[in-house]
Amino acid sequence: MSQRLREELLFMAVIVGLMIAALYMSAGYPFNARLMPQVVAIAVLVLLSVEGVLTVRRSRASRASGDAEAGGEHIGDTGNEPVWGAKFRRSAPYMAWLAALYLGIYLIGLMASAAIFTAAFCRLVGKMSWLATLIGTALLMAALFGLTEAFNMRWPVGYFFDPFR
Amino acid sequence: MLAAAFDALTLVLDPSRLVFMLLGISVGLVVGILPGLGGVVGMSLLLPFVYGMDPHAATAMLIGMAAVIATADTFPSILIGVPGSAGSQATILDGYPMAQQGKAGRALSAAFSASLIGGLVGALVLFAILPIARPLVLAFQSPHLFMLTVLGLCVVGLLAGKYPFRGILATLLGIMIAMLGSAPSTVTFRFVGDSVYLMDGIPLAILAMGLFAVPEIIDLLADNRAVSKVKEVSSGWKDGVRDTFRNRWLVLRSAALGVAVGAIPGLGGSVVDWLSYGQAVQSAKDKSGFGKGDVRGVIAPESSNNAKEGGSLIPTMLFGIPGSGTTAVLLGGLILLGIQPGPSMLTSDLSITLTIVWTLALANVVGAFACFLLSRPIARLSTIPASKFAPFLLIVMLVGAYQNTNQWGDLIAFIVIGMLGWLLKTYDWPRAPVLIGFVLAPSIERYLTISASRYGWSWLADPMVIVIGVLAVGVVVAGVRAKRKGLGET
Amino acid sequence: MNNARHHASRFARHSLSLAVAAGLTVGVAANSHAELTGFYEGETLEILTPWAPGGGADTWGRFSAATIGPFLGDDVSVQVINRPGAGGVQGTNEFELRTASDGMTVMLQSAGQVFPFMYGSGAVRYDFRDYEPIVAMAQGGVIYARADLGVEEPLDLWDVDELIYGEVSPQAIGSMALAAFALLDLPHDAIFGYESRGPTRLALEQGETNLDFQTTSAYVSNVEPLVEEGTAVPLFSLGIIDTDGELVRDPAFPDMPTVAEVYEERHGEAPSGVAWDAYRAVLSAGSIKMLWAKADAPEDSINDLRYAFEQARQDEDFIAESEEANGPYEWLVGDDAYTAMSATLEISDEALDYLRATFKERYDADL
Repeated sequence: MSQRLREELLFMAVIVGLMIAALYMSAGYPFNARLMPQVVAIAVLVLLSVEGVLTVRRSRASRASGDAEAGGEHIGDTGNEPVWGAKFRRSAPYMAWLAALYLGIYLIGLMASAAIFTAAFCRLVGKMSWLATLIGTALLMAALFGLTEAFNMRWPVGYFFDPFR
Repeated sequence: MLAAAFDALTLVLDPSRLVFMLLGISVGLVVGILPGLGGVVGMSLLLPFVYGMDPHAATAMLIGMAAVIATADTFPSILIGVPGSAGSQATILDGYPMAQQGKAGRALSAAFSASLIGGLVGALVLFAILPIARPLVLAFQSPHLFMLTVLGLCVVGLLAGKYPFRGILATLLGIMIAMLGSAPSTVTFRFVGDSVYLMDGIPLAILAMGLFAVPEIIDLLADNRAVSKVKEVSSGWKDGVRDTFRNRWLVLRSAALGVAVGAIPGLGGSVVDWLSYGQAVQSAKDKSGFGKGDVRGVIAPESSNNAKEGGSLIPTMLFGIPGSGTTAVLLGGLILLGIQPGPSMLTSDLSITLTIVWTLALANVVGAFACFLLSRPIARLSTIPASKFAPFLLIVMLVGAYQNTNQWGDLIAFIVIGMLGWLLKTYDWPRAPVLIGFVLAPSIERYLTISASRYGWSWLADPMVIVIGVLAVGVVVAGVRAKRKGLGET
Repeated sequence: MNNARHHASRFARHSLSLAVAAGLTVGVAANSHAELTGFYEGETLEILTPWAPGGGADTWGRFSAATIGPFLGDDVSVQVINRPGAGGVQGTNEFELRTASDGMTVMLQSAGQVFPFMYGSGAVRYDFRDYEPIVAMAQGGVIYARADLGVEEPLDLWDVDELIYGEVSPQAIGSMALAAFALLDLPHDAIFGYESRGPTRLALEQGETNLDFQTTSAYVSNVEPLVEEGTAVPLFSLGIIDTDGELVRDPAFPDMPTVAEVYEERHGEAPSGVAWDAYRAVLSAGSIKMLWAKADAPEDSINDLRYAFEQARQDEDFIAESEEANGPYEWLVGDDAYTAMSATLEISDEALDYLRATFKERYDADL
């Protein structure tokens, strides 16, 4: 069994688990409220078992026809690459950036984090010049302030400290 | 009615009113282009000014905004593969691959020219069928609407993605996500525990951005590339327009379909683009290019998507039943102006109705041209490496996400859905059906509940129900067969 | 930046004693609107509306926002702020927990937050009795039927075999009609699940249902044409609660009997007892729109708000505009507003139990 197939089956198993949880939780609801989720959850379970078999067969068929065409020539495209391994190593840094942004929003609010995040990302990842970074960040901030004024928008404020609150 | 129509035209063309229409159009452009913002945000901006305004000018402003959004939201659909609104998802299927092939300019100009024609046809048909629209709308009862919704779901499930089973499963997953929160016919809050945030369920805009934008950004960054895989991007400006005119019958057919489906209350506009995409595939001789960047897959949904605005105004104006979030707010605007939608829209308020029709047509023309002008600079975005635009896009989307309820839940839902979308994309599950299932879930549940409690089982024997049911089965069988043929095996 | 103000008091919660004290002072403070102190001069008053723009309550709020400014003083701007969520509970919780008591924000109340409050939903963090009533308006509605039922007057309803009534959910505004049916003991089938009252009206036109309820504005524009062409028959109005807390005829439909009159015609005596209390509670919960201020807002601000609406309701132009936009309904200021709402806010446990038991028995619905 290939790594990719294992992962796909795990993904389906998680969905199965969620559907069973939904069936269990909805058991106590009034008839009108539980009809739809139960019908759908059962349909998902039935179809998913068929799709599981089809996925295994597809995986075998593609292995039999040789791994060459499923190989690395189209990186990042939806090939047959598993997540765990190279794909995760490529993506993880950006998920970390995202996590850092969220932490920033939580601590010092969205506006301050947005400015810092944008500037840092442009410099460190985008390899943009200082001038371009500053202009870009300034334009973004101006646009955000403009939108906020025009549409009476609000943004998340920091838990401890927010220079823009 | 023709004389009244010309009177209304002079009302609309009065410069003082024209200014307000242009104001509405510019707001529509801004909220349409920015992913995550939509008609409701735009309406909230305009409504405070509406009170006490001349009703003709105010309706022109509101309709101007509503009409342009369906055109402008094509930008995010084609350029970053993120649906700008629920109405422009089918465009992604072929529009985004075109952008990846460096043909963003061509895709955009084809989309806007199709939008333009579709919108004009929509306005024309709206004008033509106004007098006979009431019986048309009254013909659809809950069982029929239920079957139509099922038909729509079948079409979407089969069209999106490589594997028909996964398409249908994705639709069902979308329905399950929509089950979170309050149930439509009882006071039960499902699957949410004590979370006040989830009581309303997950906001549509967050689901759309999370499913499509987050995976796209992460993958583009991970591969360190731009949307377009080729360096040289041809502007393709004229090619796109030529594409539209070469497929003029497709454009007209899709527009007619758009008006008809848009006019059915409850079904709303969210499946129009898919039905129209489906008929484009069905009627094409060479189907092999669909999903890989066939321009017809852009033209058909865009034409009907814009035409639907005309159709959806029929239930809004004649029955006071809004067909979408935007028309719901539009309805509020009309009431604020002292115009109660209803049968009087064809008698004492006829001039308002005709103003609406004219504005719709005019706004479509102006909006499409504005988009044309914008499309050249904006299309270049597809050649910029993701590492240079990702932070900007991300921040704008987070701000947009937060506008749904102004709670942390918005941001958390955004990222959780984003990760789900990333897994779906990686493992080759289609994401568009998830969104459509989500959008249609409340309707399908309502109509099922009403049909069952009103008619017992007897509704299943209704002739129209049977006809639509047969059609749905036919769609499924034909779709599965086509997929088999396309893939060689399953 | 207005978000700063909203979040400033995020940790300042009401203590219980404060809330109780505020409740007791309602009667005293309400009559003190003697003259304008100029509290709002040059300021912006926000009307917090816990729904998306465009609904009935939002429209009423926007009417107030657009017209009351001049009565509050020179250069006063009034803004509607929409904070939708959980059918209105979300924004009202926010008003309770996060809005500063500086008098710059008032909250708009309508059916959406009142039903969950009345039925004791776990999500509710607010208690209207802790707030100061500013102004209220009760808007009524009409029960009507398809003409092909052969019904000419309300009492004919009991001769019909199959009355089918379309409804949204057991806690929607249509539950006023359900409570009326319970009071009258009218046999009927209720079909739940319609999206709003527009689709229920459409269902009646299609023949899917044959009994329906519409609020005044929707009735006038959409049902009266049906009555004229002979497809619908008006039956009775829900009535309006006046400043003494009594049920009177709806000023928009002075020729139409109220629920109470139908009851009297059928039973020979005026309605009373627990079913009657329950009906009035549901009626004021569903039909009244109201503005509330925080109890610990500056006294001058509450005084000025009440004074402004008191002046407005005596102003001919204001009333003319209001009739045009809201129907011929009265603006109830301060104490009068509270009295109109009191049937809901002070509902007895017996009446609540009656409603729960009735809805469970008739519709299998848990309130």
